[in-house]
Amino acid sequence: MNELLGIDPDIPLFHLIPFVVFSPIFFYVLYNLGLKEIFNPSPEVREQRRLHKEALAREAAERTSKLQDSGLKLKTAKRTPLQLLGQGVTFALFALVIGYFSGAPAYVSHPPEKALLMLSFTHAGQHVEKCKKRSREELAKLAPNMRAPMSCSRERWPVIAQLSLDGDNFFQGVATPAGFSKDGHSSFYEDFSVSTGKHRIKVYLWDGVANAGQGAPDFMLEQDVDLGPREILVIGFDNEAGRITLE
Amino acid sequence: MILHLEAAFDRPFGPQWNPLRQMGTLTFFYYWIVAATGIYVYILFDTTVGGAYQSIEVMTNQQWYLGGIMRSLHRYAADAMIVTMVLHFSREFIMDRYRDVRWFTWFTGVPIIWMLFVSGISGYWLVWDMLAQYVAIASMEWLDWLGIFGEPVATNFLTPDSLTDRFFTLLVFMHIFGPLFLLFLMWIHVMRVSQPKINPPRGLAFGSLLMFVVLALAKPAVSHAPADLSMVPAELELDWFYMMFYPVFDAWGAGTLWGLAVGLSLILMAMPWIPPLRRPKPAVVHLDKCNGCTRCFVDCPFGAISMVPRTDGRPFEREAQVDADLCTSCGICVGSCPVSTPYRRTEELVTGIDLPDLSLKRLRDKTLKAVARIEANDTGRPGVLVFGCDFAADAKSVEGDGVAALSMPCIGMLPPSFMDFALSQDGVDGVLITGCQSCDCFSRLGNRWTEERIAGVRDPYLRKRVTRARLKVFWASRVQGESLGAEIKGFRNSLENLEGDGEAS
Repeated sequence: MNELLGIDPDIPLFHLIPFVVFSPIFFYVLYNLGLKEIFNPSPEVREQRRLHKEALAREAAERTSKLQDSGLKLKTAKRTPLQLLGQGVTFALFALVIGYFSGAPAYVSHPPEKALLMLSFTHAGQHVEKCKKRSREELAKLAPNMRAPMSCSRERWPVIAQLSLDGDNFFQGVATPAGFSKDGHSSFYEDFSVSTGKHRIKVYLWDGVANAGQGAPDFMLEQDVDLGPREILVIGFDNEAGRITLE
Repeated sequence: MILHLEAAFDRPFGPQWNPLRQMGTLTFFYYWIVAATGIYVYILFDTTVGGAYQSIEVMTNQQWYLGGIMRSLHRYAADAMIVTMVLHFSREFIMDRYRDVRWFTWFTGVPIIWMLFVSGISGYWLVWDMLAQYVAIASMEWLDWLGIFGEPVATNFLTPDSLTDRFFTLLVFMHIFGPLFLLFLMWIHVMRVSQPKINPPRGLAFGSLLMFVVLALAKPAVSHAPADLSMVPAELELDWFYMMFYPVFDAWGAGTLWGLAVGLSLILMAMPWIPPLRRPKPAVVHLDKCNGCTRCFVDCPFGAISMVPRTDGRPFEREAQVDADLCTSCGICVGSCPVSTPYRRTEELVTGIDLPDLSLKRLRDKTLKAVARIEANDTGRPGVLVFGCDFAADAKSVEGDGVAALSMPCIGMLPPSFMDFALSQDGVDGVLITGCQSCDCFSRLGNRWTEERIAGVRDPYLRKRVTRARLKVFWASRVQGESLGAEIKGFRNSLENLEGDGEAS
């Protein structure tokens, strides 16, 4: 199918099925729900709007003239002092509700005596398969515009991170590569509330294996830190330098 | 419950100013306050990361008499929008005004809820204080859960250096385009409503504005400490109207909150059909009685009638045509048709536009039967015929000696000639018209049209020969049956006095 459409054979087309099926339905429904009336009203609808406008204007003119002829006056609401007081009390209560809940009660989103450790970085894992040269027969089977001499797998290994604080392995996570073909970057974004004071942090990263612990970590950092209350320490990764960072 | 509450609010405000019946219009009005004050605040606002907080502090403290008040009005009116919006859709749900032809208005209201939250929350980011830092990061983390961004957007707030002026400008644009899109949605929301009411009564608008100004002076909106991306925001004074979901996010996580938000939205959107409203047959046009006068076309509260070129060759330019999908069978069109008169006896009673389930002929038959009941139970006191509405105080409940009642889908269905007709019958000394409370007609405009027809300013008019003292209009909701009974009692007394004074016509 991919060859027929001239699309890279590594792209799994079935991922596009929901888009192909649901997009037209979605836009059809949206259009008929009301967009049509806004952007593309039929001549009949335009004509009805014009007629309605005219009829309303005629009705309003008649009404005004009848009001003048009959000597009727539009009702003006007269309020007693007690009613005005009641209105004032209602508005005051409404103002109290608005004024109070616009800033109270206070909410503690993070314990003030604790620090925050954040693991946040984006890093691409290694390719699952190494590139190989295509044979002449393999090249002949491909469409002319797709005959690249090297065949490289797009899929990458996930990135695995393990954190340890004062010898306690408190986090181990796997970040899968982005993209339908799992060929994008892997991202971590985690936060941990930790006690303040001095700690020894160890960070291990694997970017070429399926599971943590399969061989030595590809990257490692071990460092002493001193964290204050509400302080944020970010564990990142410098892709240019190829090393774990602490900020 | 809500009707009792409304009745309580009627006392200080009167039916027309009752804020519980004006929640939609108040939401529109608060939007205009937020928009107008937002423009002023934006003029003084510095759109850079480094300058935003300081510019708002200057506005709040050094120019408290104008900038500070504007900022407070901006916040409090936005908060009030949440309250009025929630009350508005809750009320429409409780009063069963969201199904059938009203589905579009209900359905398009759901994106408005989302966009109002987006608009309000994005405004809090711009203050760039500790609250803004917390809200911005949590919002981005919530969005990142979807996995649609190549790199988590929340990383823009990771360190003091990672937040750029360019990204901050993007947040500013979000707070400008969000409310603009909100206005667009609000327009769509009322687009299919015939003669929509989007402005509250002036008194209510003035009262609200005064309330906001007093609140702004008494409790000015202030900022938290400036944002510092190297420190975690800890104790925060949340604006609970917009940020009620953030503690849920902290406690249950992004996935649960997405599930709740999307799930509840889908349920809300599907509600008009679970279950759908079963309605009577739509109105039908009798072409031999229709001269294309456009009265029904103008009066229909749901835009269900259109005027199309004549199809029967009669010498009129147009004829009325009913769109069955939009017709609620309220009968207001029957009341507006100049041909709807009960006096014809030589030919079959047919009008230009009629309800199959309650035709004009049947309405006359019911009227005559009610008159017969009054005569049968004559006690010597004035007889009163009550015309009521199915969605208001139960007219039937006040029937008794000398009082008979009949009800219809909307009081706007009653042609004024029926009042005249009823008063011309033996035994009927007075006619009482009742229906939904002012500004609260189930069919939107029925009681308003009726008042105008009786006042002689809307076609078809009540004839001048009708003694107005023998006619009483009293609007009462479903829970005000006792008030209706008391009103009838008072009306009969006044009729007795009228006869005693020899003023009977």
